[in-house]
Amino acid sequence: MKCAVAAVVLVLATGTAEAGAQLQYVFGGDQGTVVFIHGKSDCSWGMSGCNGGDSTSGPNAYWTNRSTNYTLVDEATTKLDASGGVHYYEAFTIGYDLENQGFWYAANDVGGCLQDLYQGTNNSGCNPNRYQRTQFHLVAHSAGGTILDRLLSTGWYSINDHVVGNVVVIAPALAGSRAASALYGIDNYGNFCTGLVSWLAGWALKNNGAQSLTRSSVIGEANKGYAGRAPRWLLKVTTTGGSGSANNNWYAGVDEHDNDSAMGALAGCLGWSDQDDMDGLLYWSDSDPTNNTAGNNCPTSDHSCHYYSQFTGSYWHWFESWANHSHSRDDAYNDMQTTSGCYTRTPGGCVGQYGI
Amino acid sequence: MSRRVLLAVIVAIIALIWWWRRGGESSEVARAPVAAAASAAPAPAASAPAIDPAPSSSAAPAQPGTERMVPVAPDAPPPYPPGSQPLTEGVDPALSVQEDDPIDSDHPEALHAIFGARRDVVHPPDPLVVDLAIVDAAGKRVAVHGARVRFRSERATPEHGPWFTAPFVDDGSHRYVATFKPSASEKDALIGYRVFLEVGFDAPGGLGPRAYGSSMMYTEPPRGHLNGRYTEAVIDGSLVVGAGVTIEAAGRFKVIASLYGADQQHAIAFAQRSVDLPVGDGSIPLQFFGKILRDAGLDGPYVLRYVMLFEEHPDRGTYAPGVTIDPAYTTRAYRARDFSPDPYVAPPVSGPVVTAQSPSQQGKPPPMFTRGAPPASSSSSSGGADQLTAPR
Repeated sequence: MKCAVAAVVLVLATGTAEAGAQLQYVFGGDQGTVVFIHGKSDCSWGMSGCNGGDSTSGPNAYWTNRSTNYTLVDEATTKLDASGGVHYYEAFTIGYDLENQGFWYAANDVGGCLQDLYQGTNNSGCNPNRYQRTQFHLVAHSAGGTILDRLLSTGWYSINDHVVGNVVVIAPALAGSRAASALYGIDNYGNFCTGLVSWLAGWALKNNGAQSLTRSSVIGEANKGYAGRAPRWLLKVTTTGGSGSANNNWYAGVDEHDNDSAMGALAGCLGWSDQDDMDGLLYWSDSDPTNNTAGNNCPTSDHSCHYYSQFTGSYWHWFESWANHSHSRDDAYNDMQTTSGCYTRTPGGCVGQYGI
Repeated sequence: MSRRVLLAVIVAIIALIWWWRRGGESSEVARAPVAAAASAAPAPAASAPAIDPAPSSSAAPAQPGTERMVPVAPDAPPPYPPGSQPLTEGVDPALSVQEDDPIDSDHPEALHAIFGARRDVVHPPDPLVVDLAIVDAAGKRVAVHGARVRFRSERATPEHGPWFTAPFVDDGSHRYVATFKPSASEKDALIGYRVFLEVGFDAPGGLGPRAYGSSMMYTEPPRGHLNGRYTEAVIDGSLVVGAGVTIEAAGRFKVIASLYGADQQHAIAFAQRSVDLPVGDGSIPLQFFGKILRDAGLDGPYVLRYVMLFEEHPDRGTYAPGVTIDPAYTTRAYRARDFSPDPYVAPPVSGPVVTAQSPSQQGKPPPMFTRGAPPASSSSSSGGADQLTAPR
């Protein structure tokens, strides 16, 4: 009874009811382990907002194309060798709540879950099967990149000691996002803009997750050393932007294209200029920060890296993807990698073949 | 006209306008976003003319990203240890950048709202101060009406609050400042980690109301302070500066600092370090890695700037920031060549390696999914559909 009362008091005190993180074992493989960290959604045990997923699909729903059931998680853990052989890494996803709490608490949930994975424990409640993997690769999308950047910059939960290779961050919100009025739920179209994209709805609500990710909030953390100080390479997949990228040119031939036009219109609602291109939600400048624009693979023309003095850590401009913010996390184009390259509009294939 | 059709038309019009503003490369008529319209939000008040039906998908322009390429990854790990990195420009950790958002999405360059906390770190009893300026395309500040900011804690909800509101006041030059000094009860309601703030105003030119979200820190100070006693030494080719601290309650504490040249203008390196400390006087060593100093080629003395102490709570994901000390300390006159040019080499991984094949992992629940047929290496459009095999 005391526990129940305490739980009620806790919920009332916090005003929210965040569910704990969950660790999902998605695919098997013998080449190593890859853990995927999703963006701003609630894929915790509560699964209140995870790209239409439920307790059966689990956090993998975030990475899965609703039309084809293809998943980036598969492509990003597949590698071909020169003789055409196919090799697989095993895949885990971590689902957590980045709707009802700020990204700093979400990072705490992810950190605790990763610690449980390398220890084989269930202290956080995310790992009831007590899977143990002492070494793993990390791949994140959108605000998942913000989460990993905090964990690696702080050294909290000693994650860095268990990461192998480079960390891949796809369309990462490393420098946060704009605090645009439309994203905050008020626009000049009678709330038309704020309701455009179903899976992005959380961005348009005044919830703690969205509000914690504004640029001044994230850079404020970086100024104190709690972001921007990654001691290992983060491979950034940023946006090509330009004509047609955010809205996929309204080309209906790609699966799960229902988001495309809405995302293009959302870009218009947020206010777009050719000085600061976007993938439909994130501006390239917010996904591509570094304090070393003369290095770190930054191109000298087109979309160069964006200078942020706070990002003293290791942030590598890996490549620019034409995929918009939706397709960059579910590889809607279904372009599988080959032994002679990958397709940049399908980041998952590039991750599997060259990123891990 | 049915509501759905009207919504489809309006979505198409907005999308087309946006397309044209982006300088669309195709002369083809864009496909109408029918699918999006079906789930769109309530229609805006303005009516819109109809447009031509959507063309076939084959009319869409070719998409970039369809050429195969091999992305290039770094060929070596970073040459610096965790906690010590090259710095191009230092920043006061008590500050942040301001938010900058267009007000009129139809003319994003025309008017911008630039706002943010004057100080990102506030300790009671100091007030929460927020600045706001509306600037036009020429950067000139313009007048705005009905401007106010309201604050809530992370424990409050947007719908139910409690919110605490303060008006913006024009300083006479259209620089707007809102100052909120919480009472004792208001402080208790707000204090914690970050406070969410909402800036709102009536946009100039009859554009209607606007609201923008952000946050700032509102915490108690750390239970300890920098005591001004610094030490220095060259250890293993690196400069190590010990920052003296006096701790009032045992816990985990962090110090950050930026190392500058003697002129206090040329930034060289950033360092941070967290340690567990007992009550009393102590020191937190900051390593400025030798290769960074050597490569910078700048002889000392060096100046320690933007030093701050934090009390950390990794178990909660939070911390309590202190106050900025700037400048804090000047080192002896080292020469850059006194430091090691060697890159950092991470220590080898220690401890047993546990994988899916390890005996301890046998008998555990299998993966939830199995993969479909492997992709053909020569195909650019095939992939295996994944099957759910063990739903839980």
